[in-house]
Amino acid sequence: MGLVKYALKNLLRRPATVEDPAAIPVPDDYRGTVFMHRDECIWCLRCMKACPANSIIVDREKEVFVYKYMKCITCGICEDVCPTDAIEILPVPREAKYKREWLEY
Amino acid sequence: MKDIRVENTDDLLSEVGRLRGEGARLITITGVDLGESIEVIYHFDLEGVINVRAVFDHGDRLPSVSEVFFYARLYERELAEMFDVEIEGIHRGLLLSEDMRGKGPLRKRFKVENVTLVSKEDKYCPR
Amino acid sequence: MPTIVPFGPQHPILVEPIRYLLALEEETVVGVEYEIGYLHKGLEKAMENDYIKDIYFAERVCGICSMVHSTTFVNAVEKLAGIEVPERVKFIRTILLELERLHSHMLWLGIVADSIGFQNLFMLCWRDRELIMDILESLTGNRIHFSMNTVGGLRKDISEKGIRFMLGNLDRFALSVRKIENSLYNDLTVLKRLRGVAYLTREDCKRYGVVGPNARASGYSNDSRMDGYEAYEMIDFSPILKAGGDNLDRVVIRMDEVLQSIGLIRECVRLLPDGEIGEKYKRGVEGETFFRCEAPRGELFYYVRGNGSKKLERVKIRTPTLANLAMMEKVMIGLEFANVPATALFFDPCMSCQDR
Repeated sequence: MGLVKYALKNLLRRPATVEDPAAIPVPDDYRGTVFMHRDECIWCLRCMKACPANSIIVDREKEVFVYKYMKCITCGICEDVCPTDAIEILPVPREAKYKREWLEY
Repeated sequence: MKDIRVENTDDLLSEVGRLRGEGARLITITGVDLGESIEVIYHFDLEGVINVRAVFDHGDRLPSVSEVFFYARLYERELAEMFDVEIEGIHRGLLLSEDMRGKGPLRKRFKVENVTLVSKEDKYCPR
Repeated sequence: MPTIVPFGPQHPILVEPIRYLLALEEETVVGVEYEIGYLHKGLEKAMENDYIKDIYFAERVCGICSMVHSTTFVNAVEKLAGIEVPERVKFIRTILLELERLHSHMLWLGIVADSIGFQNLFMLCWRDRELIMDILESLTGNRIHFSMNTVGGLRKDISEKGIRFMLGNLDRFALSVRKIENSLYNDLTVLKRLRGVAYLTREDCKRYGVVGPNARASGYSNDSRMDGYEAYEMIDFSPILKAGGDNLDRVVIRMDEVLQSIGLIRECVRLLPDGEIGEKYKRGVEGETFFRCEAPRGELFYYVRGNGSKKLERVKIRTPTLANLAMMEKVMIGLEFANVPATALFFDPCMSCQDR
């Protein structure tokens, strides 16, 4: 009798798993993807020097900002050192991409 | 924290033996490259941490404390491999692969830039 | 003439790579050798670097106990720099350390249950562990690598909302733990499988330098939390000891520690003071020091040496799994071959920590 009750209880309750990972809500201060506001950047190279994983490469003359998605460890130190708040870490979970080239921008 | 500095091999072994008699536990053995010589620090736990330190030249044969502390063998194998030193009765090789033998990666003369990596990942994420 | 049977590095039960060579006579193990180093990352060399970057390297030594690695490293550098962090920082760090112990022990119990063939318990443990991961995510922003510590304090404060969420989830978690305990201790198969297997006395623990819950399960009191780092000196704490020293006691002590940790977290929240979360320290450090913390698996030891600049000269990490490895030679001998995989897991090995 107890078994039937237990089985019915478990059948009727919400499953413990979630099907789509993107459907899980993330907290507000979740560290996901690094985003850089180009017009606020003063090309001071602080983020490049501070990055522990060398995932940011900045060229001051050509004004190029390369962010290597695969190498980033989402520690958030680039956001901390940025003097003009040009770098922002968005609460967007990192997802798989189809092509390797799409992982750098 | 207590700091004991010993001068030679016999002093080291007698000091370690005395600590063992008092019921100390060996936490780990740290090696530090000082340039010409290597400083070896034995950390013991005896109601607080006790450090026993000795300085050896790079060419010296280091004594082994694994007769006193059985499990010191693991730490000594690591030390011998990482600093490319000889330790009495200990054969090198615990963590590193074959092609890193005899290089002593934690020595100051070893530069990471000189190592050539051949993994597939490295092609896609060049340093 | 014993038969040599290799065990690992790839094995369905041991997820992480380690290789044992077992000498068998019929079904009994008579000799054992091990081979490690499959996960060597060279982190000690990489940490001869700027100490701010090193915090993130230290965090990535291990995926399960990342907070305790960074806390130990940060404490060592703070000791060198001679700074005292505010009380709020100490309490928040303690809360996170204990949460980490909870999820590490639940993960361990799940894998162990899997290794003795108790698949259902594995699912239950990992489902409840998810509650703790949710707490950590809401408090710090990430599930595993929190990146909360910095030299001189924390990088961000925890919110009132996060604390309320944490207390609610902890209540649910405590209930589930009671249920799991109940089903574990009343299962005849589990008891038969665990009782009296891989026996280790207090003297053996001393002789082989065992640390952590494994040593405490044999009655060898060995807990770095008694040093009183962070907030442990301000809260009422004493380590749990068991006298049995077999695999069953290793389960019991970890379940008791889970319940104790829940109590410690609640006490930390009750005592949590208001105030600053510290200031970032930016100057160079000089001299040498060491620090030890109690990781979920045992005593974690860091040795740090600086030369006056921001770059460190030498960082030595001694992880609890490496200290527990020597004992395998003692424990494995005399075991039946069928008990070897479970016993290899019962000492809570973490190869990523061990090989650094």
